[in-house]
Amino acid sequence: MPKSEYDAIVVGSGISGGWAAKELTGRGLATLLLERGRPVRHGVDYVTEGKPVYDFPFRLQGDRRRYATERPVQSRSPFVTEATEHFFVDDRRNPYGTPGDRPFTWIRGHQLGGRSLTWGRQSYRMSARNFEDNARDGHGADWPIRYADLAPWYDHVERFIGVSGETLGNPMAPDGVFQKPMPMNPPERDFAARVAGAFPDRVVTVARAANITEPVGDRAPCQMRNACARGCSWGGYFSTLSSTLPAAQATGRLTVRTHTIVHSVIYEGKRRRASGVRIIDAMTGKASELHARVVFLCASAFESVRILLNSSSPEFPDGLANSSGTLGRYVMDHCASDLGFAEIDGPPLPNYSGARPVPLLIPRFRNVDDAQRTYVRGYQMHAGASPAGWERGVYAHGVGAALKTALRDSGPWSLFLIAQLEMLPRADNRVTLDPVLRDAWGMPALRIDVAYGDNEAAMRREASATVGEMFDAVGYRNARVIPLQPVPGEAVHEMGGARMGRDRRTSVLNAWNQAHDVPNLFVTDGAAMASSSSANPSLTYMALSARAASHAVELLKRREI
Amino acid sequence: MERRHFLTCTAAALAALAGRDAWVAELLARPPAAAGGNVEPLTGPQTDLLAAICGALLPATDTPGATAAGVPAFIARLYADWMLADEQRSFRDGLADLDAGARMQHGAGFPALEPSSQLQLLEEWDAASVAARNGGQAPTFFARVKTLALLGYYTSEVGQERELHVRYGGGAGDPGGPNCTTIPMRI
Repeated sequence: MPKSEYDAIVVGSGISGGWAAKELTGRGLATLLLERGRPVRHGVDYVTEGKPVYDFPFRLQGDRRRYATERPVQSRSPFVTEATEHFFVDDRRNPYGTPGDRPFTWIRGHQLGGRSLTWGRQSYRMSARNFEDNARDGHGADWPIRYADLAPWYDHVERFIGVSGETLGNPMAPDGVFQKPMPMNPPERDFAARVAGAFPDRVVTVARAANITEPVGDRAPCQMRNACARGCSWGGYFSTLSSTLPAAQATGRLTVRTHTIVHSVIYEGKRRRASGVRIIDAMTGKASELHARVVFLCASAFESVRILLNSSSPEFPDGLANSSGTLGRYVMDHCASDLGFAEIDGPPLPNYSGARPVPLLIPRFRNVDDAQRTYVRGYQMHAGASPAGWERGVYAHGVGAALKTALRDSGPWSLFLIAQLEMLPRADNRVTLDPVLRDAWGMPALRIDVAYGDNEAAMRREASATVGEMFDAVGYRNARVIPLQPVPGEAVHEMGGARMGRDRRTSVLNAWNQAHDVPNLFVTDGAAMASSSSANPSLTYMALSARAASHAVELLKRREI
Repeated sequence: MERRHFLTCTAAALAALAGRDAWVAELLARPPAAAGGNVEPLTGPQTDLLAAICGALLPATDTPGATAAGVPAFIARLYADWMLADEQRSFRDGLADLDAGARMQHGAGFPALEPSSQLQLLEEWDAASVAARNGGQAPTFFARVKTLALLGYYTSEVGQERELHVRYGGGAGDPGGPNCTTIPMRI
């Protein structure tokens, strides 16, 4: 057995990896944090922060001619522009395959901090019901934990990162440790009141957000610039770089190594243990090994699964920790309903840049009692109101001085309403290693074979109808529901593939995110998810990562791993 | 009518953003051939025509207009460095059509016309664009030029600071605010 250079190796520096590194170092472990992408320094490397729109050559429309070759997938996100493109991968170097009739949009960021720099920052706990749904309706494997197991870790995470939000007492959206909520504008307050009057089962609240409204350490409250994905040197939102990385570094026990691609986990069959990882230097292509007593995979759901699939051995010919045969299966994303817009009354406002960086939330209200629908599970909804800006001129009649005058002040208000649907875990939705395709470093690329199923279709029809019905019921007359054709991956909530479960024959990870087959191997990112709920998932990854890290340290202390 | 129409079209634009057509794996491994560009630069007369249209569409009033805001140069940059090859071809063809229309109606190119004649032509082209949109037809070339000019003007320093007087912070401290985040517009 090679001598371990570190107590722990954490693969990936995004939301989950940052948390694992913070907890492991905080509990005394000499930890090596590996990041496949480039280093990014908090503040200093937010090179587009604060730049006005007129300083960008294409005025934030994106360098589309270049994207057509470099970022044909990433640029499908409307948030990839000249201001943010450097935080999204080059698709040419990071290919993946899909069946021709089953598209998947895989949005990624390979840099220190990963997608914690560009995430949507909505921070929700999964509810008690979410942890029970698999057992209740038989879809997916029963979660090996319940809400009560994770609740103290949600507390722990929320206290550390700062989450703004409103206490509701709604069982489908459990309350947490909240800073004061971000404000609603008057039309949104009016919408909330109308919904409360028309629908006793629904509550409208402002999104719970990892955009802080009160200082956290040396981090300053969100300034509502609504440019989070450029990076925020104020630390107005949680990212690895603003929050967990400095905490881990302050322990003196963290080593960070960027440009380091993990090829596979090294498995020692005699000891039934992982002894470290095989790596590729992203700059030189040189292969080598790194060793530790415990390995945490936090490379993002699909990348962690890819590493495990690429870690085959005589004992595990189909991928490490895959005695169940479920590795790569039961992957999920969320699914959007159609999109509603309503014209509403609102006060005149000056022209503002920036915005409240998160929308409103209506927690899940379907299938929460005994009245079952034609589908199982449910959806949450998002809404938000704003006055129209100059962009309305694109669709308005008018030329010359009259056009300028008409567009000088902000225009009429509109409110959007859309649902985010839970996606069932299904074995057919899976990722495998592509037999042919390789990435720029010679690693097998993923083949992603994922589609929405009948339950999503039925829920989608109902949710989309509900969007229109809610507008009618609250008295918004000039409303439209625009058909969308969501493609899996677009929510950027891809998850599953190494699910947690009670039974080692049907799951990859146990109740502590620990591989059933390899006791010193943990997977704490989205791969671990046994169901998707309808909630934005990152806060759950943080809580699972912190909980698993604490457990791993206990096991090491007791010399059980 | 105008408000409802705006709402409809905004929603349609967002739907176009969010709606996804079929997506094939090969695209990921093989760069599309659509890029290219710069097959033919804009000629002097084409540049003059573009500048004249922008200047008349968003004239100097109590604030500077499109010319002072550098809008023609911005659109020329989009043409040279941003449009795909087929879009460049359409753009040149569109300019030629507008030029021909002006000459047929007034016997001279758009830049040489009196301001009143220029405005009359713009109003006709604009009305035709709105009619096409309301009729579910393909957007006119003039609608495209108008979109590019609006983008160029209102995102310029002149547009942001002197025309819109943009304030920072999303309206968080305003009793009527704050604005809610939205999907950024792509033209």
